[in-house]
Amino acid sequence: MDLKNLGYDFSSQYFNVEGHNLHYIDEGSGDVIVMLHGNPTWSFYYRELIQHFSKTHRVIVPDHMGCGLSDKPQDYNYSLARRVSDVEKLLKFLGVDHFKLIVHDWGGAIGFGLATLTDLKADKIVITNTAAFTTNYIPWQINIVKKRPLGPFLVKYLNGFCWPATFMTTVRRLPRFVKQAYLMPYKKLKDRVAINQFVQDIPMSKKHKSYNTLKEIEDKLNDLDSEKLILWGKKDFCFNDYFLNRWKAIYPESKFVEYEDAGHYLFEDNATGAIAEIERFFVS
Amino acid sequence: MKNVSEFIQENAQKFPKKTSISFESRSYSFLELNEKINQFCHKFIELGVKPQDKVLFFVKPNLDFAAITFALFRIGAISVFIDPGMKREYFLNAIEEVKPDVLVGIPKVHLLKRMKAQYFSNIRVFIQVGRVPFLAESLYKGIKKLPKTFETYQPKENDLAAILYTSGGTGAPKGVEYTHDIFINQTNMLRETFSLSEADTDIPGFALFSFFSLAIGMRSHVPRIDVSKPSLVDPEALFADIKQSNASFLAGSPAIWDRLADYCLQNRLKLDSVKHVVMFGAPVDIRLHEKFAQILTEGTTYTPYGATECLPVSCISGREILKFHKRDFLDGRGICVGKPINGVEVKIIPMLDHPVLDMSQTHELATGEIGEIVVHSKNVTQKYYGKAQATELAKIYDKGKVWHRMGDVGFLDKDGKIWFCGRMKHVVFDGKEFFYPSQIEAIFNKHSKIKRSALVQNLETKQPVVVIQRKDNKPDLEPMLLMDLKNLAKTHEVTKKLSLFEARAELPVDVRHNIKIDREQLSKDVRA
Repeated sequence: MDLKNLGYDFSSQYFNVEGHNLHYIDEGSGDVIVMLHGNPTWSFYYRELIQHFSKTHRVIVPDHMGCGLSDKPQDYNYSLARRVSDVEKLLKFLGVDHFKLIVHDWGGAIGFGLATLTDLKADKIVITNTAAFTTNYIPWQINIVKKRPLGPFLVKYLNGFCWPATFMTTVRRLPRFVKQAYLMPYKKLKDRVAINQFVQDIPMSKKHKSYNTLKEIEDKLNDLDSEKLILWGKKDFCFNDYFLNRWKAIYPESKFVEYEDAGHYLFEDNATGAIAEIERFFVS
Repeated sequence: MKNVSEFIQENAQKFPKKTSISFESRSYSFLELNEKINQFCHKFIELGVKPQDKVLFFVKPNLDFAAITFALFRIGAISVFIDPGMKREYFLNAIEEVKPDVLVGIPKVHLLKRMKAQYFSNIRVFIQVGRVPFLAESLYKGIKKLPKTFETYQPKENDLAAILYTSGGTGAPKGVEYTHDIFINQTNMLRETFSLSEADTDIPGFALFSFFSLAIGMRSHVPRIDVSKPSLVDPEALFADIKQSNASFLAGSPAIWDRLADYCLQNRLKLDSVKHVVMFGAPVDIRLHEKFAQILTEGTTYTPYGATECLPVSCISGREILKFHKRDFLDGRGICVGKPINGVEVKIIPMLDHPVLDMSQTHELATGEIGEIVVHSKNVTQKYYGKAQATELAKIYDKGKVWHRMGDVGFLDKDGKIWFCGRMKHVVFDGKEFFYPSQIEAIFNKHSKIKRSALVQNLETKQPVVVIQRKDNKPDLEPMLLMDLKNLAKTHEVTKKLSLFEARAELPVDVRHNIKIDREQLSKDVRA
């Protein structure tokens, strides 16, 4: 693949989870950093961070099932609990029991799931434009694609999630080739199964299959003794100040860095600034 | 700072009697040319033209074209040249953007001004290079009585000499700002690169070129060409012009020289006097070098590489291409455009359609790696007229130095030669692989039934598609031909992953050169 021209110059690894291939990047050596992407991105989102931190760390970045270069099974239980357990299995397979964690978007719920529900230990956590708690609030733009029956139709048939994500998530226009790389895994209708499932997996009621998982994570957030750093792209229509303020209430002692000139894809808008901040946090 | 028109003054002192410019059966010596320039200078001043006035300039190539151009330089005005082959809408946009102070043009342009008055509302002085009554002041009225000497304007630090609007591929054209210094450097580079002297004669297929040849002291014989449609040139008349003037140097669009080459081959004619055929403005097909190899007894073809914003960057002879790079070209490596000319630096950086404000924000790629070509030399223009955003996208600052982003992709080989692989905006990326037009099209153009081909992207599926035009212009792909194309694709590294082909009766090409394919237009109607 020519993605190396765009800075995604890593060798692909695959881990078999119950018959499906989970793609991941495992670069560098030293203390482990795990980076978890959200929806609809994939490990490509972290390319500049992988490049930077793999010089001093072992960096592990999976593509969640159905995303990026992982398989896109149609018959997979796309739930938060399953996603947490996939990453848990991968890390145990790789012999990792503690690590630094960077999360974004729905990767936040998965990452905090790892840190709170499993025996894996997250020493330090970088939280970027994400949530790991239940909420009654959902931005209308997301609600459109979440509501049945129109939502799944938009997402799957019209690519109504990945495509808007290429221009609604950054302050700076994404370069053409970068945009193409984000869309690449989700070209065909069938490829978009996970994108839709991710959206559907946002629990808005107690009856939802992932509500209890998320609630369980939320209840343990306060007891989590990992150090946290919160980096926030302020121009985010989805994970907006409402979510930022929730984090401020949960971790009032932690350092918050707010980027006025960045959107949901903070690492596209300001990778250099964010990397410097994370570097300081990891070294301290 | 030197005024570029001083070259003519110097030449008039060195060889006053030598022919400078000729057109049909008339000509001027260098002394006459210099005096003519001075008289035009006085006339311009008399009509109210001031230093640093922007002068919109539309004059057909003729005997006086060069004298008028040099007169504008000499009085310190800024000549605004707009490529006459440009789409009418762009043409008017350019006028609107540049807001000229003066219009110097053929009578027809003055009529246009009456129909499209809003575009010309800023103009203070109207001058016609004709004698149509009541239209505008004539440049020629009483010219013979004016003094034959003139004190040349000395350009100041930030003075401009010209603004050039060239018809880039698509999109609104940009005005490239030129200083006297850039013209002077270019003249010197040209003289050096081709070892030109006053003994040479040039046929400027591109009207502005005579400006350089006259500065060098060459004779410039202006051919009878409709500058807006070089591809429709009459090769017989052109051949006669070359013979009549004993021309040693031909310059201009490959479209012109292709017509001439075909004419010569059909009639078994040779061009004995010609040493250099310099082709620019559009990509040159390797077959054109082959044609000229049969026609030129002493000389060879050349393809300089560059852009209006940085000219020249590199140069290579047809001889060198045919001897060393033909095989690689046919295998899809790209088009070799030679080593950078003395004084030009070239770097390859990762492709990015974003501004790169400083060199520290990007990095140089290794030998052989494909990326955007960026260049630096004394000739790099600093700005586009009135387009700060376009300037930001095209320039990279580097400790006081300015690099120009060519908007082209390519690589440097181990000998330091530049290989051109296409325009950056025409590169197809399906999310996994990159496909470069010049590499890929060369492979399909090899097929005996194919006239030209274009790599485009299906806008919906993002897949690369190769659209071909057959020599017989039939818009279909019969199974045999399709099989041939698939075989060609399979047997070459760069085309291995291509499987989609379409045929068109004709591919949309630019009006001016009849060579540049409008890939944007084409990608809009490839099948889903």
